[in-house]
Amino acid sequence: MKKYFAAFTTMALISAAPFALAASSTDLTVKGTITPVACTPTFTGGDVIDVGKISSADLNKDTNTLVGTNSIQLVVSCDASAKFALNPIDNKDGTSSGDWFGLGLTDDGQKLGFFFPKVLQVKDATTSLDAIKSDDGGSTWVKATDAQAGYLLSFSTPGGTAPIDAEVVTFDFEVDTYIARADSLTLTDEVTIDGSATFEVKYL
Amino acid sequence: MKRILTALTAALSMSAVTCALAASSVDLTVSGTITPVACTPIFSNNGLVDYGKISRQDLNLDKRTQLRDQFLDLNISCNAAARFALIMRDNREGSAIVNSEIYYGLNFDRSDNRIGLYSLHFDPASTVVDAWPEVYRTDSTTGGRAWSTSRSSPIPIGAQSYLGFTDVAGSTAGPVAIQNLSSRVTLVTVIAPTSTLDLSDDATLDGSATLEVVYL
Repeated sequence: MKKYFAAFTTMALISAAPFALAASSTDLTVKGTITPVACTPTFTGGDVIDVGKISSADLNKDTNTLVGTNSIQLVVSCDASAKFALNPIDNKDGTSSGDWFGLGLTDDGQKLGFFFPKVLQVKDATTSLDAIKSDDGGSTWVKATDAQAGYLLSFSTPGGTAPIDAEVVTFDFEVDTYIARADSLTLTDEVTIDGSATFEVKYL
Repeated sequence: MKRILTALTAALSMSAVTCALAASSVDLTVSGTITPVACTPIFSNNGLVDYGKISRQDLNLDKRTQLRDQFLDLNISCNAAARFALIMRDNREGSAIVNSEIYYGLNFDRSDNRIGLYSLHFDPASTVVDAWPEVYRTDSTTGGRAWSTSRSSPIPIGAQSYLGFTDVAGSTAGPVAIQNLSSRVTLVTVIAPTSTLDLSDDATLDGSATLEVVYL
C-alpha cells in the first residue's frame, strides 16, 4: 500500500510540471577515498621552540625584530610508498602580523608577530628532493621555500613540480620568529609569545 | 524516466476505458496542479563535498569516526513567492550504516560493506529568507497535511519528511511563501569502523543525493 502511494505521488508530480521538475532539484555529491596507507609525522628534535625572554627595549620601534632562528626537523614515515603533502594549520589564526603563523595577541588585542618556517632541505632515504607547494588543494604546484598556512607542502624530483611517491621524507626547517614593530604594541606588562601550528599529513 | 512514462500511459488508458463501461465502472481520478511557479535550488561548489584521501590510521578501528563537518551554501530562488518544502532523495539508498530517512549512504566497498553515512543539517539561524527578521523551520511526516510546531533549532533533512520554513514562531500552519532563501547547510559524515571494511585497497566514498523542491 505504501509503495502504491509513493508511485502515485510521483505520477502526480510529473503531470504537474515536467519542465519545472528538472530545475526544481539539485544534486549533492559526497566524494573521498579511504586509503590503507598510513603516514606519521614526527618532529625529531622536539616540537617546542622557546625564544626565551626578550626585553621590550631590544625591539625595533618601527620594523619587525627577528628574535629567534631555530632549526627543526620533521620526518614523515609511511608504511608504504605514497604521495602526500603537509597541510600547515595556524592554530593562532588571525593573530599574525605578517604572512606566516601568528604568535597570539597582546592583552590589548594587538598582533604580536609571526613565525616563518623556511624550508632548508627535503630528502627521502637516498636523495635530495625539491619542496613544492599548492594553494588549490593539490591541483597545481609551484616551487616552495617555506611552509605557510593555506598552502600544501609536498616534494618532487629535483627540478620538477609534481608530487612523487615516497616512504620516509625528512623536512629540515629554519624557523624565524619575528616580533611586530614595537610602536604597534602595548608592552607595559609581560606578553607571552604563544605561536602554535599543526602539520597534518594530507594524502594525495 | 521510461518507467514513469509507462505509468502515465496506464493511467490515461484507464480513464479512457471508464467511458465505455457503464454500471460496472469505477472512477479513477488523477489530480494535480500545473503551477507557473518555478523554484531553482543551487548548492555552492556544484554540490560537491570532497574529503580527499583519508588514511585508515586516522579512522577508528572498532567504532565509527565522524569526519570534520563540511559546509555548503544552498540558494533557492523562485520566480514568484511560493509555498514549498524540501526533501532529499538518496541515490545510494540502502548503503547507509544506519537505516533512517535522515541518513544517506556512501555506497559499498569492494566487498559490499557499507562505508558510512552522512546527513545534511539546516540551521534556521544560518538561513536567510526574503526580508524575514527570523526564520523558523517546520516539518511534516504526512506529506504536507500536518506540520510540526515551528522552532529555531537545527534539523537534518529527510528523504520522506517535508522540511519547510516560516517567519512565525510556534506555528503549526506549515511553510510560508518564499521567493528567495539562502542557507548555510552542514554536512556531517561518519565512517564505519575500519574493522568492518575491506581496506586491502582504497575504498571510495561515493555519496549521491538529490534535493528536491516540493510545491505545496
